[in-house]
Amino acid sequence: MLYAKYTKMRSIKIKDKKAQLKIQEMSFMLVAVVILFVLAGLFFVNIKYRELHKAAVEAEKEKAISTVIKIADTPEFMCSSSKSGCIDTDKLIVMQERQAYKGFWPVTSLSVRKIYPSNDSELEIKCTKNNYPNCNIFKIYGEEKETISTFVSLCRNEKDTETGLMYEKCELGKVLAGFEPGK
Amino acid sequence: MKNASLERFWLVLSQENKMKRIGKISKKGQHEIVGFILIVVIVVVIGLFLLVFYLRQEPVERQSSDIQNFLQSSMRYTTSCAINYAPEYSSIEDLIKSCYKNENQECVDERKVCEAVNETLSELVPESLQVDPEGKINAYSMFIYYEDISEADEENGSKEEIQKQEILRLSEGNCTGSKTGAEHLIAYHPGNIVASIEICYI
Repeated sequence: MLYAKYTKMRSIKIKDKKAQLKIQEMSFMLVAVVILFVLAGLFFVNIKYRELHKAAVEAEKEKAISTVIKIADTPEFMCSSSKSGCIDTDKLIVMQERQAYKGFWPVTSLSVRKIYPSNDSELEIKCTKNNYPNCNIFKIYGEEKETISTFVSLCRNEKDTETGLMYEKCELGKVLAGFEPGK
Repeated sequence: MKNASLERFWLVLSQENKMKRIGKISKKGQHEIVGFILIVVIVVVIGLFLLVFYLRQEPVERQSSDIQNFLQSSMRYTTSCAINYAPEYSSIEDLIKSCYKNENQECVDERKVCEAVNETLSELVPESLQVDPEGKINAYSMFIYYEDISEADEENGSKEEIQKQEILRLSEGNCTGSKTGAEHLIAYHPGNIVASIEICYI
């Protein structure tokens, strides 16, 4: 009688232990699955965050580019034909190193670079009244740091070497505007 | 003698029971292994599906105002081709129009207008954008075409039909990475001449 009770108790204990083990196994499995899903979720959140950050940076850049074009379209730079994104380089020569304009536009520096046709030596030749138009960079004000640039037409009146007649010559250039970091 | 046979009987019985238990345990183990493998396979399949779905997404194509400005400024570039007389040198935009109007039109220096456009653009675009297979911008493709939008009445339901006529196509490099581009419209009655450019960058 006593022996039977003992064996019954023992078998219940063994079953209890087995059940505990099963519960443990199940909980480990659940924890592992939850960790897996959390990791997968983090991975996708990370990807989405990067995409969003990239889009925000691009939007900032687009905004800066529109500011640069607005500056190029001011009467101080604009071509006589009044086309948007067209700079009169004859005006640029006069506008160079004018410190009075510092702070007039919402940029820390402003310069214009000729892109095409480029000079053979690919050297930076700062434009002055003496070497114009055989130069490739006009520095309006400030030092080039953290710049945003966009393409513009650089037009001027030129004398044809063969006929001696004047015509409007447009080349390809870039306006480089400096922005304070984080602004 | 009777005792010995009884002992033997119990021994065989206990051994049989043991074997049965082992059989049950191994079957249970097999079931668990199969379940585990099933879970692993399901997780791997879901993972692969998501990975393939993510990788098969088309590269993002955006309209860039910088490229738009580039196209606009390039179209105003004064070429070395004068159609009527020197020094009335034409812009790329004017040359494209002349090229579309008459393929055999010539500049005063007897170059074909279409050739002049091709020569100028195939030098201007890669040099200005700094296209380099190892660089930031690794490829570009430019497509200039005439587009005519005509309305075609199909059983009273007017449908817009777009007809494209190629004028010029330029490309360089193999596209890897993201794409960006822009379009520039040149009014040319009754339709438009469209200059579109696509740039691939890393």
